[in-house]
Amino acid sequence: MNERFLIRSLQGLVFVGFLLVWELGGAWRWWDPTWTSSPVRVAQAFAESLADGQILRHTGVTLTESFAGLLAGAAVGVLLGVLLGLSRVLGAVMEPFVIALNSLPRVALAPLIVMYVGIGFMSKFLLSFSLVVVPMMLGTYEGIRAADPIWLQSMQVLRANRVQVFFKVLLPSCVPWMFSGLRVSISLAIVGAIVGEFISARAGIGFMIDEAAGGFDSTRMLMPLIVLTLLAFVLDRLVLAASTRLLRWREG
Amino acid sequence: MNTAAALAGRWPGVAAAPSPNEGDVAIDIRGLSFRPPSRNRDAVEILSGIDLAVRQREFIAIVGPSGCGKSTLLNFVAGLLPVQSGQVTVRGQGGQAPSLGYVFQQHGLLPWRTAQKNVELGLEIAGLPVPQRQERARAMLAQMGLAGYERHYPRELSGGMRQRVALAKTLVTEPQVVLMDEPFGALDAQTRVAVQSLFAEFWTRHRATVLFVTHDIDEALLLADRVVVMGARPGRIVAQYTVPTARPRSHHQLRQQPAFNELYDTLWNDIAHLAQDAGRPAARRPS
Repeated sequence: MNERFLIRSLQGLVFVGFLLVWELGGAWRWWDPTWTSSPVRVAQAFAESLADGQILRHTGVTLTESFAGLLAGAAVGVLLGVLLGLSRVLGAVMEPFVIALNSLPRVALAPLIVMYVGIGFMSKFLLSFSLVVVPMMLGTYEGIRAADPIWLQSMQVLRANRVQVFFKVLLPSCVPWMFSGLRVSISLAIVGAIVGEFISARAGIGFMIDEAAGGFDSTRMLMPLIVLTLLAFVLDRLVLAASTRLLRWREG
Repeated sequence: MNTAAALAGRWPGVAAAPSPNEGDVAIDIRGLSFRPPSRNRDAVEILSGIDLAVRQREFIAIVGPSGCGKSTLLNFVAGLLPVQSGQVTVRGQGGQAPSLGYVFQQHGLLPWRTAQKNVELGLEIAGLPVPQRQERARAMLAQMGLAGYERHYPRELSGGMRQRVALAKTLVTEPQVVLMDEPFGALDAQTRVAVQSLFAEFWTRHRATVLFVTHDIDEALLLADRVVVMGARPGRIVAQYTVPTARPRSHHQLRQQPAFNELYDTLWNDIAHLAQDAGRPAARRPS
């Protein structure tokens, strides 16, 4: 309890210290705040943007793209992972291809995707999807293969059918892997949407940043970025809380 | 559904359709040999020419040095390994395929299920309605001295408790044939004695056919009707003894019986010799 309190206090101190250095360094001319902006300027820009509704609109666009990619990517990834995990032959056949797909820097697919589907919602969605689907698939696949053989043997002795083995043993044993896959995927989904917006877009956080970059406006470049970071952080905490709650049975 | 035929179909080597005059035999093992698939042509046989007939409701303990294929033998009876050469037949009391129970050396509980839910698993698979399976699982846990621990996850239980949950999980389905692979080996001495008498009591009431692998001679003599001694390299049956003592038995009472002590010494000598043999490198056969 005491150590927990100490850690929380130190975390608060690090955060406040960072803001102070950032603000005062510019104010005291340790560096030129044109390049770094400052917490106060970012906060002002945020308040203005909140007032005219811009930040809400653009954040909404980016989050919609990311969430669509995340949900579809997670669903398809889990499905593919299950397929690969259940069929020993299919799993062995596809493994090198999946690994190759995983090592491919998939953001580099962006121009190709834009060429196929244009610069609308679809390109951001597909880019998010392509980033999310592979780690979710690999996680589920690993989870199924990590099922303890003794669980399967004991199901066989109890004369369980394949459907029962799947729903009572294989699927629950994947859940921890799915959760860690999901945590990685949240930031990947956002990366996909932002990169898509950089390439070409009319709305979204990536669009805001790109537009501000055209005017050398560091404050309006950093502000949406910070908003997005905070949102992604909160989302990660939520998933983490859900997983600790659902995975109460885990060791340690 | 004809389960015997289904069993024979699913697990090649497990023969169906017993002849009526063999109705008293629950587990019939004839000439069972097993050599693991390997490129090495000199690979040692794990099992060699095992013949064993276990009567319905008989309690057999199998003792022997480690590596003598005791666990492999159980896996053949359970149908977890396909029979290569020889024959394994398992029959229920009506001649049909019996319900099986297997208590593994490790508890094998599903970590995401509570004690209660783990015990319910077999009943769930059998399609028992929810209220009945909850009631039976709760009663079984109580019998194992685990009342109040229904909602604990395996990680929240001690090793002895986990093993008792595993035992409850197997026994709650009231299997006609129970296979047990050193089920109490991981328990400390006190817990082991307690769980042994729990199990002995259960068996006296339900009288399943039991194949019980152990390396503890005391345990074998406490529980079994017959003790089978196996040797290693290759795994084979070297001796069988009928335990003369009447039930119920207790560790304390056994020690005062000359017949028990004599059998204890005989078994101890058998195993000591086998262990010595196993220490030497296996003789290579000329190819």
